[in-house]
Amino acid sequence: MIAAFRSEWVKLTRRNFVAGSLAALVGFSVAITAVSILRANDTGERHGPMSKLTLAKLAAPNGWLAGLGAASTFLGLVTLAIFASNVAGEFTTGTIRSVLTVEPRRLKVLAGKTAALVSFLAAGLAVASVAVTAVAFVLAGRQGIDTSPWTGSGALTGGLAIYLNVFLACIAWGVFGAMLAMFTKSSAIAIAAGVGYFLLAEQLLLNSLWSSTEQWAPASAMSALAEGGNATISFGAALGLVAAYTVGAYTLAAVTFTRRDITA
Amino acid sequence: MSDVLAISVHGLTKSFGDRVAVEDLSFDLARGSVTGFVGANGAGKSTTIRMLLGLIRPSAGTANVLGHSIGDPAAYLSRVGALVEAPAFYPQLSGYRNLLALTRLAGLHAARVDEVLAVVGLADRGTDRYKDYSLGMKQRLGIAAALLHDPELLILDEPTNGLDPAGIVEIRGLLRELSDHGTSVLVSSHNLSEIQAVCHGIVLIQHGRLLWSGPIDELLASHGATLVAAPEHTTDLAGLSELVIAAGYTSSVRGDRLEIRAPGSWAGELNRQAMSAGITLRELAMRDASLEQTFLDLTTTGAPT
Repeated sequence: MIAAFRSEWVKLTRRNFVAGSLAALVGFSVAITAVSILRANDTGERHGPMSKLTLAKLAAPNGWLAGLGAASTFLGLVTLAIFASNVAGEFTTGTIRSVLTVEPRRLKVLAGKTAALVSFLAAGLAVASVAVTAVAFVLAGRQGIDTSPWTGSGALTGGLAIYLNVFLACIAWGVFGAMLAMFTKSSAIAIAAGVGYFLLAEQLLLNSLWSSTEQWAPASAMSALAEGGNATISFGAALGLVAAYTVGAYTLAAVTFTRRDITA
Repeated sequence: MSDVLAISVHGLTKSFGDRVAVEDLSFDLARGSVTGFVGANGAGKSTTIRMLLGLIRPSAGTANVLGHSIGDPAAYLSRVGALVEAPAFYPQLSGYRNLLALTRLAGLHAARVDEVLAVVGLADRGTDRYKDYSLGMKQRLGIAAALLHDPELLILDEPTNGLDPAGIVEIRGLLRELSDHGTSVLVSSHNLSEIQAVCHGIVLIQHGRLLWSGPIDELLASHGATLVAAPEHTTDLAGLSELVIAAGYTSSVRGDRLEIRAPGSWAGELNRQAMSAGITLRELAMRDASLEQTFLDLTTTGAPT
């Protein structure tokens, strides 16, 4: 698996891939942080996938990274696209046959690829966190937010908790993306299916047929995890649910991969 | 037996739904030999190669590669180099980094990348992006990837595709050199003169079924060799032809000669019968048919294996 991980990192250093992925992760984080801070008020009602922050939340010790949490759904979608394009790309370019004639143990290949993508995600979110922090400090003054708690006790651990929650939620988004790519062998179809379900279909279903099952829905659970728990799903329940969904999606991807004839 | 065979295939079959791509295919490939794998487009060559490499599972039958079942490709693929159909690499990465990714995956030292790039003549173009490579350069990179772990068995699908004449000669030399060092090679190609020039043996398939498997010389001798007989007087051509027909062979007149589809061993008998019939032969020779002609004959008539 270490060999597959190291091999995958050679591919992940493609200039276009790095630039595109970072631009999307940093771009969404910065834009949503800026909008969230500039539109922050005392009520903080939620608008679709972008959770609106309250002034009180922003003034908390972890407020300097609250924008990252607010952007979690978009970061998740970007992660889904990154994982899906990486996995499906191996089939569309035919490189999967080169890979599997060198390392036929497919579970090792998948594990190494996933680990490399997760580490890339960790690095990408770290860069996004730096950008979010800079934007937060620049814009806090405009809203009259006191930034002294951001440098006081609990600020670092609070920020790290937000980073970790968003990171864990994004891993789940990514694994769903990998699973869809493994099923469809097409980046475009996998991304469209992922975005279509998580951004539109699940909300529509929850608003009509499944209204009583919101606490079990994957996108709701991932959002709750990124937020550190919310009124619908507690942090512990969200963590358990997302872990179960992630393991399930990864297992389906692995079974599909190991049983598939490579005709690409 | 398995230690003298690089590949041993028994009754291999692969179906995709209702379509049978490979049917009851059996052949052996001796270690150290260079064997051509020949068939028309869609004959099942690539499907067979993919089964040998563990990329697809057979529907029936068995095969061993370097003494191990194809059900356990991890047991032998570290000793097999392969180029399957067109080379496939990451377009945005350089040739060097593409090979580096495979080198890391195989747990090899990075220095090996420079060595194989030099072998295929890409040492000075290794830092160029793959997408900027010409077709021939892409092919060379594919061969370089197949050579990365100094394989005991090399399986190459159309390795000279897109190469210029000089490149073809280079690859031919490379295959001979590898064979001289004991590497077994299975090479599929549509270029039959290339196969004839490089290979000792040949596996010929059509519609997924075996047409012929064995030494090329034997194939040409048994299926493609032609006796050429020229009587002293062209008026004797008809009489000579009757002798051929009486012996159960066929012939056709080409100018002042008769081309007879018969084994070379019958030449002496023909000479005796012609003399008995009062026909003097001024020329009696054995002419090897080209592999192309033999291939066409076999694929047209579907001669038995």
